[in-house]
Amino acid sequence: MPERSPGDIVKRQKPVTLPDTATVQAACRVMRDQRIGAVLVTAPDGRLTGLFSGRDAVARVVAEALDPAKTMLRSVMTLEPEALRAQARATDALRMMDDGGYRHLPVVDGKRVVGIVSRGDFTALDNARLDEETGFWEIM
Amino acid sequence: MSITAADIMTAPAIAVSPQTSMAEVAALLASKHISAVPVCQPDSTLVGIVSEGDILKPFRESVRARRDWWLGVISEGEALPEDFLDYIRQDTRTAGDVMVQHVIAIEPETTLPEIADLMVKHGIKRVPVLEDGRVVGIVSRSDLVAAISRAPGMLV
Repeated sequence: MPERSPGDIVKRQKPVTLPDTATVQAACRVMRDQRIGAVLVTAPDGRLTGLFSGRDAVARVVAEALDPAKTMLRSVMTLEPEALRAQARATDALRMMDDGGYRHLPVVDGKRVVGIVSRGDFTALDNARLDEETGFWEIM
Repeated sequence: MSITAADIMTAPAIAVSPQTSMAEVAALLASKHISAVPVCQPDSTLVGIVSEGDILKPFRESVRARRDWWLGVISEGEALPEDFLDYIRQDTRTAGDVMVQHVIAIEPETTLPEIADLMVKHGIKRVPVLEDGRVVGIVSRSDLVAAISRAPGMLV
């Protein structure tokens, strides 16, 4: 079975993007309705500027007692998140997630956002390949 | 009036008994897409919580078992790999043997910022809600996200 690239995984995705002026409440509505763990934040020209996750909502909004209906994503999102190139390999994605402790990674083609991948998108085979390459389980 | 745990918790909470086998706990965590589950007596008294990490502890030297477990959990939506289920069916331990007894829990009256603080401080994604020591629900990160999306204003 050929290795799927993040580009293949996001092929049918219409990534959920919001402007950084969207409220935390709007972002949480999208995450709840679409059962996703994070939304991507883009500039008017489509460039990726941030990522906002459920974890950010808990730690940076609820714990700080901010009003989610008045707080804009720009003040609580993760700025300039690491992103994968669409041409990258699945093992690159998994390694980036392991190294950074991320569950989600934006996928970009040049400057254009094309999707988001999460851990569950990858197959057992992809993970086994990463294990072989890194000896991951020997050091855990 | 503040929004509290009682307003947003998932109830009744999924729970296991101290006698529940490791295979059953593993299958439950995988099928419900959760990483931990409260352990309760038949009267719902909380006695502990068991997480995937607790189940895996004795398998430190078994690379294969840990990997299969991990693959099953992250493959969200897929069943646990059959060979891992075979492996864990030979595990004679129960939830009561491996659970952590010191559990971070909240009350129905706990406010959302307090819940969020606990999650951040302890690095956890869900907290059981107790009333007189009995589990009446559970609040997860996704319950908080849903609360934000509904809230008319401040969550405090």
